[in-house]
Amino acid sequence: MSLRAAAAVRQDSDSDEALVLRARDGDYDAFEALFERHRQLVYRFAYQMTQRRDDAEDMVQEAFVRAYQNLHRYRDEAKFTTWLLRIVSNLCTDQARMSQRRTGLEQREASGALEWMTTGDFENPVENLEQDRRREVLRKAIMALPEHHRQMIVMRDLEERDYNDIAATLGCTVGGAKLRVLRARRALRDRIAPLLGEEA
Amino acid sequence: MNRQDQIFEYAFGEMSAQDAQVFEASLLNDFEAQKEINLLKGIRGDYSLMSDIPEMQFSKERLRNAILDQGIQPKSRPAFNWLQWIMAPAAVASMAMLSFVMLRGQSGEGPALVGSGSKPPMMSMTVPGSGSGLDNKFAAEDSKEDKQPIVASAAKIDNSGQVEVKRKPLRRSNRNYIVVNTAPKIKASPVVESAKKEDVMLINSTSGIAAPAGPGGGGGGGLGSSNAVMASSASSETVVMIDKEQESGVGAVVATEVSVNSDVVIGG
Repeated sequence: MSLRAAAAVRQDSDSDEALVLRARDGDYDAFEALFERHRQLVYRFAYQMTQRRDDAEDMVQEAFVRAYQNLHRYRDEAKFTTWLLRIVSNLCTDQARMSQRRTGLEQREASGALEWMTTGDFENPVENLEQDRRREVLRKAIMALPEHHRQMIVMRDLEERDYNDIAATLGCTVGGAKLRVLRARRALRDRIAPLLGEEA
Repeated sequence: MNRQDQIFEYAFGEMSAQDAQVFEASLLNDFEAQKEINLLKGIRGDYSLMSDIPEMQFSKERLRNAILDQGIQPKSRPAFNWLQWIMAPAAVASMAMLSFVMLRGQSGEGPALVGSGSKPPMMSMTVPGSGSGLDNKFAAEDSKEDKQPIVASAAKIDNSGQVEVKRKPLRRSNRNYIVVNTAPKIKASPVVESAKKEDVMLINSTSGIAAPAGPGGGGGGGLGSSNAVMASSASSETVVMIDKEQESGVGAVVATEVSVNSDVVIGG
């Protein structure tokens, strides 16, 4: 076997699809390799959606547990990351429904105060204040969006995923994904403009 | 794409270079659009402020605990169920057959339904020995086997045996009555005159005698009156009883074939 062929076989055996096949057969190490490879992606998305670290970590755990349980449903035609993000996206939807019932406002404000005290560039405090204000405005505006708009902003504008990926995650066409992103941006703009003192 | 969509596309850097040049040229005198673009570019620039994400503390040990310690296993693929795949088409086929039968029943095929809807029904009749018959297969079978030749049908109309139906308002009430003229002339008996006032008419197919039925009719009323009329005819004669009221379910005039011998309603 040539070196190139051996490298191709090794690369193939390390692919997401190969790891999924092994994990389906009960190889937990293969699943752990998938977790190591993609946990940051899942965590970033979850954090941007919730803006809370512990919530995001809970979501990461739930997402990988669900993925492990439903490995037989994964089909090779979609990328594993797309499938994983679809799971997280569904989880975010579920959590958004639940969070409407509970009052987590105080905790959120407490974590915001902590962030205020611990982050920032101390060399230029005035500019730092303005940055913090704008970040807070943006964060509040994003969190005030309906969950489906927030997902679009996070996927496209914060995580910078391309439209093909978004369409595959949402199970819609690329044109449909573009339209959803456009609507989400309009909704965000309408919320931010008054907060920034601009005309709505 | 409208102007607002173009502004968003341009501000978020999703417009092609060629389109962007054209769009920028159109922005020169559009101050509102410029202001909007500045706002959107500011939002896009602020996205970078959201990139600070705290370090994740979630370890693979925690995931291992969550999965293995709780005994969670990958769900197995559901087994292929042959019985399910066999039963499903059979169920669909039986449902289709049932709905076909029900629709056919509603469409009014059969000798009892004459006409439909609000239009006056067209009828055709055959009388034995007249040579003018229906091409309705039911009529052919009936005339051969049972010698019960009178058939009324809306399904197919034979011009030679077509019945002219006239509707006139009843004097004493709002109900209509029917005067039937067939190609082989039906002799009008004296009782026909009185039948004009009635709601139900009996037609003797063999003798061609039409007689009224119902209270106040010449025969004394009801089916008994028709028997009285038929008493002078052959013993195994058949009559058709045409009700001049439309049946509420089908919207058609009801024609009932009655055997004199047995007084059994064959059709209705």
